[in-house]
Amino acid sequence: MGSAPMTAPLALLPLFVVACAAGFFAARRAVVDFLPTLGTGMASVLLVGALIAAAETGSVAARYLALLAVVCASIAGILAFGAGEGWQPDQAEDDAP
Amino acid sequence: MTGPVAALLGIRIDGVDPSPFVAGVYLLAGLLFLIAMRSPQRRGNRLALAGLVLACAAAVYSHDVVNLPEMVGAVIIGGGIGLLLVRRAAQAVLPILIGLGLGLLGAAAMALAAAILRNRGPFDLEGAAAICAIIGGLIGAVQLFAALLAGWTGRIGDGLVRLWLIAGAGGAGAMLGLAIGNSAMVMGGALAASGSLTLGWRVRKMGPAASGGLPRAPGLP
Repeated sequence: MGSAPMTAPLALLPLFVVACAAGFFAARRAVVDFLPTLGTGMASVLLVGALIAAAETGSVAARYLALLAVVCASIAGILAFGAGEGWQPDQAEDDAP
Repeated sequence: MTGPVAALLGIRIDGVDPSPFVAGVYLLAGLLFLIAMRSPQRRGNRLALAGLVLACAAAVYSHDVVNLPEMVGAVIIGGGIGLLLVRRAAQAVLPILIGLGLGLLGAAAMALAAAILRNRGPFDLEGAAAICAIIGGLIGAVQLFAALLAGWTGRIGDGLVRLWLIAGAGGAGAMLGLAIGNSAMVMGGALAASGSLTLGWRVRKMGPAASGGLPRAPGLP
């Protein structure tokens, strides 16, 4: 793959359409509490892309941009996962007399 | 695995690495996200995390990584900051932090688009692929601006606003996945974007009673 410029987007277009349809049907009957799940999923999508870009980049600027994307996606992923798990903020110091 | 199914997986599912094993792992990660969307919250959350780990492992495995320590360091730094924020922040500001985390995904999409546009060689980034990368970066910029605006106006804790932000992140992820030819990004991004748009449409159509389950914090600054 990849000999012609249009190959990669065109080859993945059917997958894009099928995924859109699957998301539509999954959300039609879904409960509204799956926000953190979606947040974790989104963070993983961008984390995968950032890892691939960081692995492939040749120039220093591009590499650090990709690593910045890795840091941002990791922060968002842990925030979403922690919220979904119902992690309670540590109030020990605030509640201390 | 040289059968027709493996060939289909290798050629159609994964645009970068034609290995059927890697494509199958990406497909499994996508299926986990799909199941997570239909599961109860905590179970779905853990399934989504499992999908995240699988997809990241496949991404690292399928490429010639030359700077693994830097990548692992970036993941640890980002995860540590996120863990610190979610564990130390007061309960009242947690919805705001999560909303701003979605804004950070927009920043990640912008940085990713800039990184691949600066280094087009490995991704054959020409024509439609370059346009997809630019669109993904623009969606990320809009998402970051929307998150900052929602934080400024005090609506970042609104569940419906967060659904739109997730839809933006999904769209950006799918576009960037189309640009670099990665099936996991296309599947996950399109799935979450259409799912959150559908859910947001349902909530808006059914009115405030339907959004009772969405986490809200209307009185927050």
